[in-house]
Amino acid sequence: MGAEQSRENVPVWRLTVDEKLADDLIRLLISPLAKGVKEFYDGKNDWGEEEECLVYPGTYVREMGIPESEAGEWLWADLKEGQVFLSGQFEVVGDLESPEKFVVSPGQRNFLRIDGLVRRDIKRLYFKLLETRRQDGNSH
Amino acid sequence: MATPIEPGDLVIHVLNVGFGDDILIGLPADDTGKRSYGLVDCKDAEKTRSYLNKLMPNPSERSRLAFICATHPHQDHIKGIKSLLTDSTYRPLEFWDSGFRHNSRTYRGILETLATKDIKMIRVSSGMEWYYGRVRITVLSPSVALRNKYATYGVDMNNASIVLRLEHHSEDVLLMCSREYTGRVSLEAERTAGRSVVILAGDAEFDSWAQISEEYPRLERTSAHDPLVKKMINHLACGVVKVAHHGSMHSAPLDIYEKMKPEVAVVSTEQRVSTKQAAGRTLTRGLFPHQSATIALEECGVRILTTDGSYESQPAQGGSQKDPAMAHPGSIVVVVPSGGTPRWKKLNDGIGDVPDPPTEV
Repeated sequence: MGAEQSRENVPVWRLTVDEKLADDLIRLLISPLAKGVKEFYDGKNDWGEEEECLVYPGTYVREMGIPESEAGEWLWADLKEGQVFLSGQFEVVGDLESPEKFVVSPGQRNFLRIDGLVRRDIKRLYFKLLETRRQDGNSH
Repeated sequence: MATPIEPGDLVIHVLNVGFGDDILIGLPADDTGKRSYGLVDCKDAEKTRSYLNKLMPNPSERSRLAFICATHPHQDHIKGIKSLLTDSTYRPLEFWDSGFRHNSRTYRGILETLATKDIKMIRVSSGMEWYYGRVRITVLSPSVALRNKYATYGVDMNNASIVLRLEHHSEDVLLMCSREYTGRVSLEAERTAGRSVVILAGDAEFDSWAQISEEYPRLERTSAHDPLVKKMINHLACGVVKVAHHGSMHSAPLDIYEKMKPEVAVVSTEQRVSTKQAAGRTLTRGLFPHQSATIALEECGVRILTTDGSYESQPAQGGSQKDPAMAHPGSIVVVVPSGGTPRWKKLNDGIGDVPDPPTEV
């Protein structure tokens, strides 16, 4: 995971399923938690640059950092474009369905799907952008 | 024989950026002789910026891009866009978006940047048009029908792709498109009608082409419909197509290529070979381009060019033949004169190289 940085040096990774290129080939986007960040959500400065990573049915569990004990819950066939996962040493603060935030927690291995949360934020940002432009008379 | 590129030509530069799209559109020069540029997708910001600098060696000639179009938000199409949105020289006047919201950090970064910059954001759908001098750009896809299904009916990102039709106006082409004709239109006549048209297909797949066929039908008068259909219209007829989705097996059906009847098909790609088990046998094949796409194109007598040099073929007596002289990586430059037949040239750059733009093609 992450060609430039080893898994040991980065406590948490954000993984996005970008494109299913073939039945047996997926392009993942992987970004490391930004240096020094201990509490995070999906904020502007929480994550580093995304890197591309091609995964196959035989490699995705390792590349995504899925704990071996949970590998049976995360099947290749269930990976879909747009899914977002957190992988690494962290814990959830607040309700699992609607977390308040996430915090780095050394030794606490976790793997969590969060695209429901991310999607809400992106949608809000997108329509805010269109709304702003509309006020300028610039949007279509 | 190579001919100089004229200021009035429409010029399409399909940069070799490996697996991904990065297409610069050189719009015909205005009355002052100044040419402006648009960008359709951007995987490699540095290569794009450096190539633009070579296109406009005099810094005083450089100006903001007319537009950046993100056909859809897959990484191989948008990776470099944020960098150009913040570029002090090439920051675009407009940003065209498919309306499909991706959850990647890269896409979010584009939105966050747009929020802070003086760039007009346009969420496009089929039927929208822009005019740049004598070039008309029409959006063929996504249809509103597809757009309304993004979040609920499983329309995926590829099928959300913006598909653009660029037509370099010429009186004879317009006449050809709108005249009342007196009989069957020959293949050659249709080819002539579409010769100064370029279609940039993003990563559109079958759902997208189905909608395009519905909204932009090929109409032909038949005795059964006479006199209701009087005009020969085929919006998909084109001289050049940037093949959808890197020539994958789902890039377009044969039916679409038959309507297009292009002379040249450009595939922006980096071939990948895949091996999988299918019905008890091991299946090994190239994915980008896939043979289903290359066979369909060859069936229509099309010249195929790839940016990675993995599959080059040309029409020949009895079918098609490989063209070993073109079997090398390189950006592809297509020149479309007003109402004229496109010409093309393949450069010799690798993925990381910045080639010199040709002055003649």
